[in-house]
Amino acid sequence: MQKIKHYLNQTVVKIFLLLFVSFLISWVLSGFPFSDQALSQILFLKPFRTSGLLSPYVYSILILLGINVMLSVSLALLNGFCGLFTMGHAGFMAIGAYSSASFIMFAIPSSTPLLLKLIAAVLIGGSMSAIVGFVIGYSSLRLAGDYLGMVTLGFGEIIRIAILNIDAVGGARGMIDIPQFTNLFSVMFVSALIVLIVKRIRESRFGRTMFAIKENEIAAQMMGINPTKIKVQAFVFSSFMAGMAGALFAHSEGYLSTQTFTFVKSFEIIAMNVIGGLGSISGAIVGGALLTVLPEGFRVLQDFTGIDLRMIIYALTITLIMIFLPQGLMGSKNGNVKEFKWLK
Amino acid sequence: MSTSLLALEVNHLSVNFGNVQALKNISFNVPTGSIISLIGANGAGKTTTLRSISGAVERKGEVKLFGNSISGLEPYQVAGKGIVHSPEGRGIFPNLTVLENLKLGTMTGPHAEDHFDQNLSECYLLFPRLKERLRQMAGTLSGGEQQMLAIARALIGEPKVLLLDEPSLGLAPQVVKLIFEIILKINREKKVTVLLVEQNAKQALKVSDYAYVLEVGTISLEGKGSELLNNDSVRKIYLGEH
Repeated sequence: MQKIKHYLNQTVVKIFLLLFVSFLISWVLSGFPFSDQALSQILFLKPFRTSGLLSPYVYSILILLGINVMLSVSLALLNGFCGLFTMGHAGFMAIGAYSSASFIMFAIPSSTPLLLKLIAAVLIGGSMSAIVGFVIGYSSLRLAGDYLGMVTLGFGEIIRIAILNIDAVGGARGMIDIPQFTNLFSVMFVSALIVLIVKRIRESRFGRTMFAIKENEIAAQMMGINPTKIKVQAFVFSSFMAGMAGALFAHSEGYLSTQTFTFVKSFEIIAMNVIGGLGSISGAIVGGALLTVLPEGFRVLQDFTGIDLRMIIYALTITLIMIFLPQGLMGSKNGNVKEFKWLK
Repeated sequence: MSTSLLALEVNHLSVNFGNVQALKNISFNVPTGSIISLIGANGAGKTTTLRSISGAVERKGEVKLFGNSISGLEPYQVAGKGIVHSPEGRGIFPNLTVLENLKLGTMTGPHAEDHFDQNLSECYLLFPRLKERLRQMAGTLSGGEQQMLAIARALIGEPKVLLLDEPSLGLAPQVVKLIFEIILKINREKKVTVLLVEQNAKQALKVSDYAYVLEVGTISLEGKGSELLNNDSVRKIYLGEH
């Protein structure tokens, strides 16, 4: 028993387990298809939207949910672990989305297998975003708190407006005809992978030093921690993951507009973290899922009432959560965070 | 006294906060293996002295560690040289567990991570209380336990010189006594040089080999701990005796 447990704890085994589980779930949700063609649709990442248990609408919501969870968890690393209050996370997502979309459309032949395209897209999106994250992190190091928030807000908008003025990626018209190969399987796998990585970071030496900097930077320095190095590393990791989410987003929608990546999106990601509980991985997941599902879930109401109460109820729910659970859904009163058992 | 016997050498240290001169050209030595204390009233510059040694405030003057200058280094670099500073108010991380706090101590010494298990069991001997509280958040510990944690964390980093800022702050007299016993034990058994800053002059002078009295940024008096304890003006001003 002990041996099996030890074996299951190996990272490689975990990754394969994640692959298998996400395949299984997408297979079940697609209505247990047995034909070769259907199975290959799941495995080889063709969007699977026409048949199965899910309507195309619910299917696209699930994909968006996975992407939002990725963004929320990646921000948790910066905002929750390291205490760096950043307001430009949508900018990192935009870099990931646009760089992977242009790489797939202009740099490699369209006959490349979809699986290779997906891997390339995610890696290119992540690394381009990480490079920008390094530059932003390094240049805004002397700032903390609200000031860092303002600077990152500015950087986020700079990224968006710069993209808006590049005609090659569509400019204000938006980028169209991006190959769509993100499906439920890939989104589920990548988001689970990100959660696994962030959880490992949380338990590592790097994670502890980030928390130390958040709690007391001077004491952390006196323990021999170099805050500059740790903060830049946190920026790079976080923006890499946000870039991956952006890449998957680009290839699920097939259309990109800079209007998606305004600071409103950044605030949405912050809200996911705050509602879930700052500094908690499970909180970031729950917050991300909730803020995706809530505004859509209330659409049904509109059929009964005839008027659009959706956004009112959405806003009210968030307000009530913050009044009655100021530490967030997964935070507790003394400032600690609760986690799902498997996350801790 | 030859240079190599000095753990810390502080020469002509001055610190300015705006127009206020907090430290005025002070010099003192900390011999290897001793306990040296700085005592004085509020605002005398005790904490500033420690902070300027570890590089947390801008200062003029020279600080040498075992003969090598450490002036101009960042606090984390000073810590890497083997000077662990336990700051005023203890500087523990309240939302991390006791074990996580102790693990963070390993960031200081070059081999501290390899010796973690051994150092941890030695810490249990000094502070049996901490062993029971390993999984607890550090912020939920009592004041005395937090101070024990701060000292234990410093020891995990295998310091050559330990800078302690007001270890008795806000503690009950019984606990203060215990903490000072432990400081003495660390110095005698582990051969750690200690530079102690204290308002509790009586306890500090009892354990220290040599002491300096700071008064508004200058050293007004110095001498062996036992001598200062019997010095009339020290007794009057700092020990409250008439």
